[in-house]
Amino acid sequence: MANTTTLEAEKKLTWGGGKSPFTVSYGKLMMWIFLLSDAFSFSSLLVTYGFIRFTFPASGANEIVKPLSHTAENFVEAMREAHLFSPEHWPLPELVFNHFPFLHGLHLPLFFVSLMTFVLIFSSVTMVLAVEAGHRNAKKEVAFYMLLTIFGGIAFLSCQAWEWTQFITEGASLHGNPFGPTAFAALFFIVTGFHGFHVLSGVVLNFIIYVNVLDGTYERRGHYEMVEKVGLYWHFVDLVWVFVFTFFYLI
Amino acid sequence: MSNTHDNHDASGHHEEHAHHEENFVSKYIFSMDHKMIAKQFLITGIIMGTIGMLMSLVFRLQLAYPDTKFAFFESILGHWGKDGKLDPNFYLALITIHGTIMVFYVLTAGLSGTFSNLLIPLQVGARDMASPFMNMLSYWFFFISSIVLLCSLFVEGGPASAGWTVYPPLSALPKAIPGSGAGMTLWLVAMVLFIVSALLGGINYITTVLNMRTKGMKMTRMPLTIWAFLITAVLGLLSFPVLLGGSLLLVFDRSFGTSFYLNEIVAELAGGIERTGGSPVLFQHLFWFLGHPEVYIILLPALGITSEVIATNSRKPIFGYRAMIISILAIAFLSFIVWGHHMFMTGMNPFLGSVFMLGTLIIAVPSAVKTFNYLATLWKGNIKLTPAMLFAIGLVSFFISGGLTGIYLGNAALDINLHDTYFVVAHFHLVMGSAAIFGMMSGIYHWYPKMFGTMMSKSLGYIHFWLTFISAYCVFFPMHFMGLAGVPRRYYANTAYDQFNVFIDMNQFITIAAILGGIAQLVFLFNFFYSIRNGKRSPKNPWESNTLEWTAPVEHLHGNWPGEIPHVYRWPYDYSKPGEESDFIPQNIPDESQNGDPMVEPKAPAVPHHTEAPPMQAQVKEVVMFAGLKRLFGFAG
Amino acid sequence: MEHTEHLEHTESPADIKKQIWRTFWILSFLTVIDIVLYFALLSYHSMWKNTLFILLGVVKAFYIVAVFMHMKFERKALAGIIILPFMLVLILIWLVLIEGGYTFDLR
Ligand code: HEM
Ligand SMILES: [Cu+2]
Repeated sequence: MANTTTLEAEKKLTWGGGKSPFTVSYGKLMMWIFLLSDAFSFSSLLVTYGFIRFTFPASGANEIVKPLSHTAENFVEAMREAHLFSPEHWPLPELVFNHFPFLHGLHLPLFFVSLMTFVLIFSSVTMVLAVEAGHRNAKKEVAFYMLLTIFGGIAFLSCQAWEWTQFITEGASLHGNPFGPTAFAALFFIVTGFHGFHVLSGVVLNFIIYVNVLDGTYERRGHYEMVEKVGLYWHFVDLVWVFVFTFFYLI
Repeated sequence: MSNTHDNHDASGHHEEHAHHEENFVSKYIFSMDHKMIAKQFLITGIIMGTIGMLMSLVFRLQLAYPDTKFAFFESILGHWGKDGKLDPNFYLALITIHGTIMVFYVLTAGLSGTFSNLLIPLQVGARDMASPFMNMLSYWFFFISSIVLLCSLFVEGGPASAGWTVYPPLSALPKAIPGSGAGMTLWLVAMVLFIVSALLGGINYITTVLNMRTKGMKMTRMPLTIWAFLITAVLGLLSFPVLLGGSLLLVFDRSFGTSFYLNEIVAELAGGIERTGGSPVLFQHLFWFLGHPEVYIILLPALGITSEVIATNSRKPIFGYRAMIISILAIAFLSFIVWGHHMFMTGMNPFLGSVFMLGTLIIAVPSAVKTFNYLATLWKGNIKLTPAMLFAIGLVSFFISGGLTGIYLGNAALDINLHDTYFVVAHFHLVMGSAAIFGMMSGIYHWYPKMFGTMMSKSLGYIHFWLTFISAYCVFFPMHFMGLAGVPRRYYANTAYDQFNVFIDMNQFITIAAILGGIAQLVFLFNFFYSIRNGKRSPKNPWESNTLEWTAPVEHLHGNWPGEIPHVYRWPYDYSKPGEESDFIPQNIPDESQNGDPMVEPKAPAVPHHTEAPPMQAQVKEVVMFAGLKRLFGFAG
Repeated sequence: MEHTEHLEHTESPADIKKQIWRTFWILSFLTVIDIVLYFALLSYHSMWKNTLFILLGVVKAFYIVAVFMHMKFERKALAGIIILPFMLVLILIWLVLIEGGYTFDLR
């Protein structure tokens, strides 16, 4: 009984003004709110994807190409002949994204994108580790993990660049592609591009913060909250990738 | 770490003192003070509003006198007004830019930007916005966006002409109509900048309201203005990004050969690439997912201002404070699930039509709650008819007369007849245009002393009000009848159709009324700018109001209050509290029963409000009203 | 209950690190599951398969938000104001997908 009354009193205090009801600083709250609205921009793009996808029939099942099998030079041609690629229906992602650097001529569906996913998840982990080190004011550790995160981001972007190049050399562009409906390639470029742009901004932000960490800015300030804020952003980018991965590669 | 917000206002205050010698640039241009930024928003908004209004007068002249040549058209419009005839393509451009300016630049940035900036820190008791720097950026993005939009008036082919809703394919194919070229590109650029500004502002408003309230300012002690601004910011934050996504895709359709919004378009029109596989209806969904919340982004701040002004000038607590908050929240939620009522006639799935119709009709409920609460607040009040109060009552009037037609338009079946006619133009000008403009005017008259430290002339205010009020009804009310008769909107000359010739007189009447309305605004502009320097100096609390901003000194200080920020002990509507001497008790006055603890609620009055003998004036009115009611229902003695 | 205010301070750095790595393994595991399922279900084509993948995505998102973004340790109110608005996105998705299906039927 006594417990509930103190709880109630505390609840009154929580929203009673003079302090943050969430016990977060205004800067962190701003970041959260920004991410919320950014999530809505991604949602609008993904909704577009869903809409256009729904206006096309799905592809038939792939009975010909098994994972790890060899692919001929004219793979795309062959798929078109087999009616697996056609402007009339949405292609199967495994037949489109089946390349891996240095392993030419093998059907390796989804392997590369899984690698990209791991890279991004891993960079998220190093980011939280940096945040955690920040709580202990361990400057060296923060710097180390930030650096790893930046490398992770760059690695991801390089992978994406490779994948785009591959896709483009096979004939995909904003207004046409050999795999199926034109919107397929256009949506791929725009959504992964928008995501990649976020990753790029994240890398730049992380870099600035990294320099500041080395500079001792946050040490003087007494806290590493800035690292937490860019951390939130970075995880958000990771989060978006989860859905990009699901929608473009899995279904 | 998690305490930084506590230090914020204290340290912020010290920082301000550190560099108090300010130069012109940091004080008036790149100011980071919320009060200055509010003024910047207001003045930019007023300028944009004037431009938008002048545009409307030009195309009103065309509608009223389609065969007359106006020599001055050529001198002001150049080749768009050759031989005194308005170019038909330029007509479309004018209504597009007029709509865009009014909706986004005046009533979104000009209204919410001004009053959120001015009032949020002052009314919740904060030194400034959470991030003054972002606040400054927000203004400058808005400013650049305005400039880009205005520049689009001068490009080859003229400004965007696809309507303020920029539906593809007109907006997606640069060759579609003259305005689809460079003008449309600039429109999109301006819109992206505008969205950035709105988001920067919105993030700030929300954070400030949630995080930086002074001690004792519980959520349920916030003035309704703040509630309205908070929810408005939330609406903007959730809906503008969707338009951002939608516009991004539009840019790609225009310039990079994609076809998200295009289907079966022949290649010659579309830059040599065959466009297929998209859908223009998709754009409409994305646009109206912003577009409908947008009308509440426009309206809610005006309603919030009205709540405050009506309560203060009725000397009565606002009726149904909690019901007001709940209806704001309900409107905000519902506004996200009704966007399709703009699309009943565009080939949308009829099933969705019924979903959207349901939501739309439900919105009538919270809207009616708000209306009746205003009326109930006025009821038996000790009404002080200041210009601000008149405009607030005007808002209620427009909200009712325009809102009722919304119920017609919300019915999918009726919309078959009414869609894209002047009925729609009449509806949204009353409920969104006039109502929100009146709310904005009310706010300007009410908080002018807070902004400039001087008072506006009351008599000029009355002239302004009556002329504007009468002309607004004369302009927009007749449009209903034209709409019912099927006169379509966005047409250059209705006289091209014999059956609409009967409306030529009405069109002339409307135009004359519109010119009258334009003249009325000159009175306002004079009053506004003249009073900045020459107005009577304002006392600290000219309207004897309860909210915190009136406890701050008239001179503007960085940090708003010279000493400590006042604590808040009560809700903002303690007007004419029974058993108290003064008829208003500001929020920062403690009650004895509280023992100086702002968290405790003050004691309720021993006597309820109604048993108080109403002031003389109101009593008389009551008698008159009841007599009228009795006669109305036919049982007069 | 008394920990709501500053949960983060009650855990030792080692605990936090352990939790981070656990989350990493969970996320990796889920990704592997994704891929395994993809090949296992190759010959199926239906909504339930898509729903399954989306659900797996949501689970991953949950772990990222809860642990990496620290939402689990924040006030419930913060989680509320951030997560509730996604209801609106769900409505958008629902209605626009219906429209997409309708457009498909019309063509
Ligand atoms: C100054 C008084 C005003 C007059 C005389 C006026 C007149 C008009 C007229 C006649 C049209 C329709 C033209 C046509 O369809 O051919 C129009 C369109 C429009 N007006 Fe106004 N208006 C005024 C103020 C406002 C205000 C305050 C708003 C703010 C909401 C506004 C928003 C719009 C919008 C959104 C359109 C539609 C543009 C389009 O079709 O794309 N107007 N105005
Ligand atoms: Cu609407």
